[in-house]
Amino acid sequence: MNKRDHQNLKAESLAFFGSITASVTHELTNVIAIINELTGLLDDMYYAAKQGQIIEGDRLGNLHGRLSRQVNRGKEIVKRLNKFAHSSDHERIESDLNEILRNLVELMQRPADMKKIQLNYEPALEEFRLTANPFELQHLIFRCFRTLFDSAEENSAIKLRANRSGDNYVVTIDCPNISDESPISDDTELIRKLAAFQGWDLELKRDDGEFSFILSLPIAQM
Amino acid sequence: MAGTRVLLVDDEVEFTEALSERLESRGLKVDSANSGEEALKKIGEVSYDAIFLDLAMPGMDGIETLKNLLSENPDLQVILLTGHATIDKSVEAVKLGARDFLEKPADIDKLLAKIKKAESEKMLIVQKRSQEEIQKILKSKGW
Repeated sequence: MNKRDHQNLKAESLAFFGSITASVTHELTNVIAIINELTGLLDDMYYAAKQGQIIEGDRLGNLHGRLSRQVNRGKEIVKRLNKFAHSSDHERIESDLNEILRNLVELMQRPADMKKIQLNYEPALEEFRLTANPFELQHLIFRCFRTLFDSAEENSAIKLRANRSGDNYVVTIDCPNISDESPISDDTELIRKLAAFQGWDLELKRDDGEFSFILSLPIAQM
Repeated sequence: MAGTRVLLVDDEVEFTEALSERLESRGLKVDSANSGEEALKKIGEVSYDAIFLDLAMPGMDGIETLKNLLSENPDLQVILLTGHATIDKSVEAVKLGARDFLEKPADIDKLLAKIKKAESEKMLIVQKRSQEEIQKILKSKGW
């Protein structure tokens, strides 16, 4: 791979980081907006109480529950983003593959919901320890998801799963309801380059209305 | 603003519920729609003084919903309530006919000011249409 290709891949990695961050900030804005309205309701109750109105305990309890729910939601979103951000700390590190994939799927739920697509992750039953670049692995899978989001019909269910095959972990992304005539976006070229640069084997399969990305990751990678 | 009718269009149910409560406690009549499709149905049933519309929604997004709402009724007073804070999208929406935009989280007083403005603008449009109708009738009768 030449220097220009390398620079292009770096730029795409940055764009990926920006895309995930933008999506998460939108989710967090919604959480903050809800908390803003709920604390506004609390303000309204406070002023009503100051004017002598009796505020029922149940109403306060209900408000407390709704606020707690949003705070917990916000905490989960920040936790996900934090895990994602730290995945770029090391170029090569041993990580839990299930954990990486689970976190990415959770980060991608909102973009999938926007396209009215269901994103399902089937975690492996055992722990998969992988030495690789966790950030670029997420980047590649993100590109696969985006490609499928563009081509899949609404209400399609994209399935992500990982299993072991010999000296490799195999990550498969299946999407039904893509007709054989449906164009697949130009991102497949970038996806192939990302895989090749990391030393991963990538197969694209199209068969009878289903499209699959099959990524083989060597378990021990130097 | 007692009796002012507002439609909130946002896929975040908790958000529309909380904001509805606040606006209703101030005397407004509030309906919610959690999708563009639902919003289109509601405007066929009720005449709203102001519609708050989220830009990012699953399926039919805010821009698409805006286009469809205004094609049903170009006089609708649609105000974008956006978490995006992207100037581009908001400018695009205003060019398409949205009256204004507010960034989430929004201050309730600013929201109420926008509703009042929308209501006044709607009244002006209704008055203008009435006058035009009257002129038409007078002309047709030769008076």
